[in-house]
Amino acid sequence: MKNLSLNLSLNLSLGRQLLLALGLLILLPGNVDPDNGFTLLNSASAAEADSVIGVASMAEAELVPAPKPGRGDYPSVGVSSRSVVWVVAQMHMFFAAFVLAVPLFVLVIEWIGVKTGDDRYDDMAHEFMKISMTAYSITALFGGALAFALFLLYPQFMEYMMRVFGSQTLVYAGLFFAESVCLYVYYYSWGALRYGNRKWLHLTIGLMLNAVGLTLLVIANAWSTFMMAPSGVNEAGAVTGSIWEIMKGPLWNPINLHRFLANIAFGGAIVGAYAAYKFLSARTQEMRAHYDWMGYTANFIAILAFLPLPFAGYWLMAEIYAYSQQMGITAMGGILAWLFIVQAVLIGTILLAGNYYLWSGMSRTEGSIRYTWMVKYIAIVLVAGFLVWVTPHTLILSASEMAELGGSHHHLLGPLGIMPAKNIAVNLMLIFTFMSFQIYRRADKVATVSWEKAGNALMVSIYLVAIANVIFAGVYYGYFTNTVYKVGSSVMQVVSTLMVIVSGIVIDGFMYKGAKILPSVWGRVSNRAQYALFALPVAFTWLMALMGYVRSSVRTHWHVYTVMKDNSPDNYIPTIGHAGNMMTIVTVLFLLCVLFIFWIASLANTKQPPPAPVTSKPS
Amino acid sequence: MSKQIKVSSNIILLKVLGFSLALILVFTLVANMLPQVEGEAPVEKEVDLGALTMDSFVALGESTFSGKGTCTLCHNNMGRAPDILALKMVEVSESRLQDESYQGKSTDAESYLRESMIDPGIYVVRGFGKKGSNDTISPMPAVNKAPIQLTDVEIDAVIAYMQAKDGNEVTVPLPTEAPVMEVALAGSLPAPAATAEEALGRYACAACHTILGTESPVGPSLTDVGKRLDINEIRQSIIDPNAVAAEGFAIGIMPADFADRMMVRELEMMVQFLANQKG
Amino acid sequence: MNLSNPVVVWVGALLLTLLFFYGMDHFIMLIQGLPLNFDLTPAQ
Repeated sequence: MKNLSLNLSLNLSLGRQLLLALGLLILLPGNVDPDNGFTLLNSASAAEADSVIGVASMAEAELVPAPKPGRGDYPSVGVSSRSVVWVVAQMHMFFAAFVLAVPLFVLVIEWIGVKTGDDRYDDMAHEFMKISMTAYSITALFGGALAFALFLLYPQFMEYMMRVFGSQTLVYAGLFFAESVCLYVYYYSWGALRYGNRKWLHLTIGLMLNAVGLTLLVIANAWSTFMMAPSGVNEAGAVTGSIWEIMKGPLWNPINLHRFLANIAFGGAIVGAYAAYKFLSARTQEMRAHYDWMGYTANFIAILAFLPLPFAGYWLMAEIYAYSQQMGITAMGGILAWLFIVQAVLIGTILLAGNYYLWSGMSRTEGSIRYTWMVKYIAIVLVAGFLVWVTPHTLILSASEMAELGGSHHHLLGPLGIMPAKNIAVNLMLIFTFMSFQIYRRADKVATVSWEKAGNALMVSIYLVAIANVIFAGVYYGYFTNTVYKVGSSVMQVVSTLMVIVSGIVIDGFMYKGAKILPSVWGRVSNRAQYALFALPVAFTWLMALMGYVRSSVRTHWHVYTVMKDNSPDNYIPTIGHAGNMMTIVTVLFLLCVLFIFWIASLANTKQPPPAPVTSKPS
Repeated sequence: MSKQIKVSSNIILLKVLGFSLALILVFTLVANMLPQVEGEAPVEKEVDLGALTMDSFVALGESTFSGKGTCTLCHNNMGRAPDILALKMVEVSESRLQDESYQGKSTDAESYLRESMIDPGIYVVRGFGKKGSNDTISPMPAVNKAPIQLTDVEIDAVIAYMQAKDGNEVTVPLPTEAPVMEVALAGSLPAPAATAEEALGRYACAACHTILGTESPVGPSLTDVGKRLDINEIRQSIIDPNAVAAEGFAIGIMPADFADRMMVRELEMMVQFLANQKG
Repeated sequence: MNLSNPVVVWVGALLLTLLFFYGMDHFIMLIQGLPLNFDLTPAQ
């Protein structure tokens, strides 16, 4: 009986811990600190805390190290086990990202609908949810397939992970029941809970859906980050800490933030593709206008969530370096460094597509002619920035090539290959993308506040000084001081960019209160611009696959870094071409699945007309 | 008034698919056009200690330095860690020992180098500490622990390499003992060799004796030792090799400490095996 | 200060922004343990 109560309280406080984890997600520092872990435990009741520690120490009495499988111990099904898990895992993560993201911005759009009283927002939110319903079951299908693949092909690794994470895996499974309930109730009660207090109930259900979804995200994130930077275990892999210490490794919060933002951007991009497709196949002007507006909203969400992503990624990389300089350098200065050049190509695509869509969209309103002269210069900066970003530093050259070049780096282009130049390029690209955003938002408005001139003077000053600061920090600290100051100056650049974004939003928010709205026509946008909305999710998907590969391969020949070695036949790092081919496979598969989902969504609306009644011909 | 727009869904679907696939193709091509490098996982290699010479030991150190040790990730000319390949490491080590902030326990270059590898945090060279730690915390991992996990032999080889590459005298002795077996958490002793052949390999007999397909002129051939010596004489040759010299060979060359190192089971297996070697 | 004079407004805005970013630069480097001199050169 005593054991039963111990187990119950373990699960209860675990669940409570998880919800607290959700709430304190961003606030807690990312460093592992056993003392902090117990601080959280103490916030629960003392009895529960004691019982948790009691259960933990019962298990710890016997320190069982991580298993050491030999090459022959890995099961084989005739094809590369890594490839199987790669495809299934990546498909699961694509869909999981999508179904987590959609409820996030659907809730916001629904709330905007309540605030403005505009039915269009509510209808759009409902339509977005419809798309994600089919995706939800596909997520679960791939999740189940992934579990099977992992247990079949990597049994020793899974035995270890189950031992480390213990009953938390059951909590994870249980949360899916909560997720399903929230999801189905949220979607199917849309009409029934439409107005007044019922609407607030509906919004609450949506909030619960998101809370459960986020909890699922952070739990799964803990498995990935544990594999990269294990915490709560000793050098041999035996569990020595509580589940909280195991979860809260140094990389957990950076991944939480990065995936949270990236999911939103990804979800927005996919929904944008849906809107673009419906726009192109629209048969009436009303439909064109409706889907044009939807596409714009989706692009807005995607780019808005995308802008802070590089900063979250930077934080993640900084924590990786702090945890293990070796892992950090393997990623960005060693064998995996070329992947970041490929990343530059993808992000360049995303930024160019997003910007192009905004510029094309300016044709919706006459007021845009005040700003269209800027587009040329923004385009120049974006292209130049992209070229700098894509320039590699170390070239793998043959002896004769090296002799011709006069060294292993080009004397002019070499300096463009290192981080200071790239940081300048990225930050400028983000600043100028925000500029596209800002002039688009301003295009259909005329400010009526008295301090318009001063406000614009301030805005322009902020742009000028921020750009100058980014360039100064990059050039001076990047090339003329030591490594430590060079790395530190990138924070200066990042904050400058953030300053532009934040001040732009704030200043425009106040300056355009009560502004005169110029007429704009939804639907008056070129068909060509819709292709930007296809480029966005395609690039996002491939980029997600690329970054997932980086996260996975940075562990090199370890299942769990420093704790459980990978002795499988696939334990080497594949060539970048092979990795790229795998990414293409999963992207194409995902594309086909998404088309299937869109088709299902429209199929649900299709009704076959009943056959015409048979009239008997008089003979 | 809602105007009807002529549109064909199938054409649109094809256009969208075509565009998406073309874009994906561009990304695929980029990945395939870049330099293709595969990253080999380190493979556990048996170091043939018997056949080790100082040159091959230094070469082992060099290959470990850029291979399993992953030293070149940070120890290069990019400024993240001292550029070992460019520095004269013996002189540099000796000057570090003179630094007033040095708090380690080493007394010479060899011990300083070993200490830097096993306990890098004990002394951080100025300017190379973790950012913001004011050179008190080292970003270098301990090389004898995971994920690098160099063995003692490999660490010694790397030290030998660092000494030899600038023309300095190598003070690290060649390893002659079998490498210490990986000790299990329970602290159990290494298992005895399972067969006579394994024991012969463990104690590097083939380094000096012709046996098991390898040839060596240093000591007498063992392929017919069963004809020349009886079983007790074979046993004595192993336990106390200096008691009786073989004809044409001097005493004092064969290691005299096998009795301390071998397990009884291993000795007996080898003796039985050699007694059956009748040419 | 004649706020209707555009030159005053623009110069004022520029100076204010420069001052803000200057202080921000110092602050950001300081909290990372990398103090700067008044001319923004490294102090270590």
